[in-house]
Amino acid sequence: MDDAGESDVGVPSTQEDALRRDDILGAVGQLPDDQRSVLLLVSIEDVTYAEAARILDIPIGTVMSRLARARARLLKLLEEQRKPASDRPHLRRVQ
Amino acid sequence: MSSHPITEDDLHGFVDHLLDSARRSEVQTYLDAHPEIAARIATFSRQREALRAAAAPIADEPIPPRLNVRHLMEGRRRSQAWSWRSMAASVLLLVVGGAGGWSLRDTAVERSEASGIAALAQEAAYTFDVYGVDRSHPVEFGATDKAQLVSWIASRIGRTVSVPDLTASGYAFMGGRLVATPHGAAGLLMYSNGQGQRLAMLVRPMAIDRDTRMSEHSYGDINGVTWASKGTGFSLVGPAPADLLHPIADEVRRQE
Repeated sequence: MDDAGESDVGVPSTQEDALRRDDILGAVGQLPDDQRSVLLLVSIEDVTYAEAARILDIPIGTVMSRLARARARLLKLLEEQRKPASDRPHLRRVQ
Repeated sequence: MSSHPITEDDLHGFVDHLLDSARRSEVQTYLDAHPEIAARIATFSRQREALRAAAAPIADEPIPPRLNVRHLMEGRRRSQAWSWRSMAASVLLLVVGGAGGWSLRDTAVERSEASGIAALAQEAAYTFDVYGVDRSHPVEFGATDKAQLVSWIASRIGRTVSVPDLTASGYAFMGGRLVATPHGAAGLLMYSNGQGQRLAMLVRPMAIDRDTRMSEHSYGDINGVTWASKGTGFSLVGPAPADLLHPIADEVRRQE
């Protein structure tokens, strides 16, 4: 993105695009069970938030907060996974 | 902008394609005006797609029915007796292995499903689901071949099973067969009352829970009472309500 600057939330889009299967599955595997179950239901099983609430027998507000926490945590985990790559010597750091 | 403020929930709904088109365009307008939030939401969307793509090869594989959320939801629709908690347990079992495949991780839930009288109860219900409703060939050996049936079952499960007489409870012995369970061979004895309603008893050796009190359970439309005595597990199942099955189970136990 041209406008990626200080406000850039994470990593360059080229790396984002290369979200590898092992990376994403590994990161999801590190989520706490309650967050992972909500994330998998919503992302893969295509259930609505109301259905997820009934399935897990929790209030819909809890579904939403777990989903939000799962996604935020996943973002952090994936960023951490990439750190070694950004430290590669041939990549010039921009101060 | 919208009359309703855009919430975090709306943003996730946007990622998961769960908003109606009006709300979706309101969120899109909001994101256009807030590039930082838009970048975060775009990242969430990429993660979602990556996760779906990663799961797709797995989703194409046949997965055990108890891990299939859709299957479980069908079960729920059929009967209120199915607990959503069972389904939540299944979901928790869906964990991501290091090599990138689904794997079953050892959990308390899995252990309770895989062993003990809870497993026997489930096996009995599944067995009844298949043979209990079969009109053409519900049993392998009929009532007249009781001796042959008893000897067949004994030779495979390693213990002699006596066939309870339930005529006093209104059920006549139909016969039975050997069935497969995740815990080895089991004997299935089938009964029918005057109205053609059936009940069945599944019997097999127990590795754990070798002596337990009777417990009632329901899987879908099939109710049951399950117990174990001296290393042998018994599960009496059928469409009859559990409070009707319980005295029959007591009768079986008296005749053991």
